[in-house]
Amino acid sequence: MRKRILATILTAALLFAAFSGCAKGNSPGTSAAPTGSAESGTGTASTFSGYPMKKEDVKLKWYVGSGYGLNSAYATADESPFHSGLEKQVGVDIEWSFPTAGTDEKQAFNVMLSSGDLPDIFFYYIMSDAQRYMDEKVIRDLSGSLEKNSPNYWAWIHTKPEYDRAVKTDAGQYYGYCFFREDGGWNDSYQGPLIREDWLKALSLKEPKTVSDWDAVLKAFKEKYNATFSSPAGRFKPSVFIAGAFGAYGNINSSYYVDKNNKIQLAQAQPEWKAYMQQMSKWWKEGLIDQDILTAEDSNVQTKALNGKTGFAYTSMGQVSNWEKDAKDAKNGAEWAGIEYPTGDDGTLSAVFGGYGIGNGMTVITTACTDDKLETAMRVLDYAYSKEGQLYWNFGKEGNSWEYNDKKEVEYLPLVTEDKDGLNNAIDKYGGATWQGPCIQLTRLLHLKNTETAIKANDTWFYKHQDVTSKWTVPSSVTYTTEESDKMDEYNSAIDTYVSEQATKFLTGEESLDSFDNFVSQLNSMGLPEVLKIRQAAYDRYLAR
Amino acid sequence: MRKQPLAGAAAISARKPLGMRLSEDFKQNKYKYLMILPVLIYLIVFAYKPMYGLVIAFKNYRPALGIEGSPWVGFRQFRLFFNDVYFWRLLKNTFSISLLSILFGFPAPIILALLLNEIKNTAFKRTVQTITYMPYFISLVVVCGLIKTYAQSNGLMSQIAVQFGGQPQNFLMNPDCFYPIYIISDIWQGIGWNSIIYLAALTSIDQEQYEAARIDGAGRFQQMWHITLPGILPTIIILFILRMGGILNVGFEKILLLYSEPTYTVADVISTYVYRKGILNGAYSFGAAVGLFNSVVNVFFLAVFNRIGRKFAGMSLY
Repeated sequence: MRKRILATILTAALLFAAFSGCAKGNSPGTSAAPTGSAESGTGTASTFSGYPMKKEDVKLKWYVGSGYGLNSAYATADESPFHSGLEKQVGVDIEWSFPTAGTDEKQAFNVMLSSGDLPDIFFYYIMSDAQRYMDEKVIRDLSGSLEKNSPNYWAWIHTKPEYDRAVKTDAGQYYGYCFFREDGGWNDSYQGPLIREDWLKALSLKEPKTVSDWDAVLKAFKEKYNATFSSPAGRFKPSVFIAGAFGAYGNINSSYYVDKNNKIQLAQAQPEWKAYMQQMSKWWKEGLIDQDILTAEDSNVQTKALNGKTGFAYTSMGQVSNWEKDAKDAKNGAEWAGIEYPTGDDGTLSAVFGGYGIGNGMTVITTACTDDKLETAMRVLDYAYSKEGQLYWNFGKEGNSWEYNDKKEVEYLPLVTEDKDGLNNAIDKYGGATWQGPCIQLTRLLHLKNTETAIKANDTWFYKHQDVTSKWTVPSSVTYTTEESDKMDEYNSAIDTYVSEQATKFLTGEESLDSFDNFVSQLNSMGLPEVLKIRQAAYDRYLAR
Repeated sequence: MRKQPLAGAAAISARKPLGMRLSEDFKQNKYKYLMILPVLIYLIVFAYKPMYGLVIAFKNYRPALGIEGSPWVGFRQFRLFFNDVYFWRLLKNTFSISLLSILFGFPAPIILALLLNEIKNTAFKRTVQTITYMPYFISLVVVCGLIKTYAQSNGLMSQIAVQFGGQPQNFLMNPDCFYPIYIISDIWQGIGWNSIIYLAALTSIDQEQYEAARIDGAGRFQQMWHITLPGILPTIIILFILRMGGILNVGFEKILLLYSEPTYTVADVISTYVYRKGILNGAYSFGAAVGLFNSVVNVFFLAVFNRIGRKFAGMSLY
């Protein structure tokens, strides 16, 4: 009797151990699909005759990990005008899936990947991992048929070499559909300096243009209004801020940039950054900079702007719209306006906040998409880059959510402008180009979304400094191999932590900039040369694409 | 928890074979076993089975490859962690915050419970209890938002400092102020809730003991020291052992919300550093390795303090 019981318990325990080995980690692409990542279908004749394609029998599964996901007003894609409308526009049945509301996007994406049940199409920020996903047979190589099946996209990416490089792997394989801004980066300069024009007028000062001008204005504002220069920490620390006036390329958080010889460098290790920090710490000591600048959030700075604690700030064009509204409601006469980034007294300006107007998220076709559906999938994605598709992705269906006004410009209809959730929310219900997606974001969209002050500010920040908005930035599509990633893991966070800690100490004066040389040699002993070497190799591969 | 049995008691009962004892016990207590079955299943499914996933601490986990398909890397993740330039600082900060929390945060609910116990006016007692419980239910994010607003250079804390002749400053940028702010807000939020279990233990103390003490002429404080405190000592010891078993589990979200570069030197703990290190690559393996390290240290402390408790107080968890 007892032997039987013992035996049963032992067997059960063993079985349990065996079952716990059953992890669901099967490799994708074993389910339906073609082996490897090369696509076929080059021989089959295309039956494409324009949109809608009338292929309602073809079902594509599309996972949207971020960006053009479901508006919070809708529970399913069927309710969403943008998503269901897109299906009608292209004439294909699409089964949409999104991360569960409230969950962490990155986790949801990784869960989707490891579930073994890949959709046909997915979107996420996978640019730097593209080669790995290709090697792991998750995504398809589209090179052979991209020109044939996505002619609009093909034409667009060949308008600029950066566009073409951004959508290929180092090996030259095209793999996805990227996000582009129509203007080549206008809205990538969505942050910049702002000032209260009414205070300038009251003090008979002109708009500051050089570092010395800034010095004068900061002192005047402090004296007359007891106001300091403020900024939300999340915008101040990682951006280049006004370091460009000193020929530098970074602020508090460690930043890598491309120097004039196409070499990758760490901004904080350069002597120009030391000069920049010397000026910043001087201003800090003189009490001209808001002490909370390292911890403040958007809302804290908004309150300060409203209470007159700051009249000179650095934030986004979206935020300044809020400040404008606050000022109007409070009737305090504040007139906020964007001003140019300062140059050095000798005219130096090496960099301002900006980019190439290329997103860092990719919409890709996976190996789970069978060959017979491949052309359809590629045509569906190509739609966004056609003339008609651009308008749909940005604004929705003509006559439904928008129409042309007398000046032949796009104008939203009452369906959008009088939406009870507000204009900004409504725009996301009918369009998918606001944040990121496989499409071209039209400048008109941003003009419709933002106030005049915000648009003028962005204009100032971008057009006045256009040539230094992007060529110093490291493109988001630079990829690293697994070995390179692993090697960098050993050094990256230590370097990042050390740089931001020391930069803070330099700013607040806790440490004198005389120890700058020690700072650089410490960085070198922390593995900075190895990191630069790896980043350089990756960047060179990018240039060679 | 169990008290130590008298020596020799074990020798007295004749030991029947295990199988027989189990089946007898089962027949006798069928429904108790049935009651505990769902909990057992829950533990097996959510605590034991996932332990298999710890294996990714020794691999380089890639979601697309799954647990099986990811390559083995041995102790690489652990080496990455221990060789990090900031490893000792992280360890020091984690232990500091944890030990200071225990030093100040552990006695606080006990003291509150003892004080509440002395209140005769039930209406007042209940009001105090409700008021002290309430902060527990406020979301941590809201509390941290409040703290950040108060700590600003023009915030409440600075205004109070100025009243006492000090300088206005951003208190969350001052490394010397981080621990006090962290611990005091922790106490404020948890003191009411954590005192509940002590208040419950207090009700189990025999009231006759108090009568006897009063007859013997003991004052209120002496009664507290000699009757109340020993009465809840078992509860205190068990909770203390449990607390030590979580020694490396410092409040990750709270520190993440409150810290900034100026306070990294004292506030950057293991979990926040790993968060920064991992966020770039979704480094699950690295996180798993550090988590494994955390668990091993926690279990070690749990075992040590369990033994100490057994030896010196006759009370232990297992």
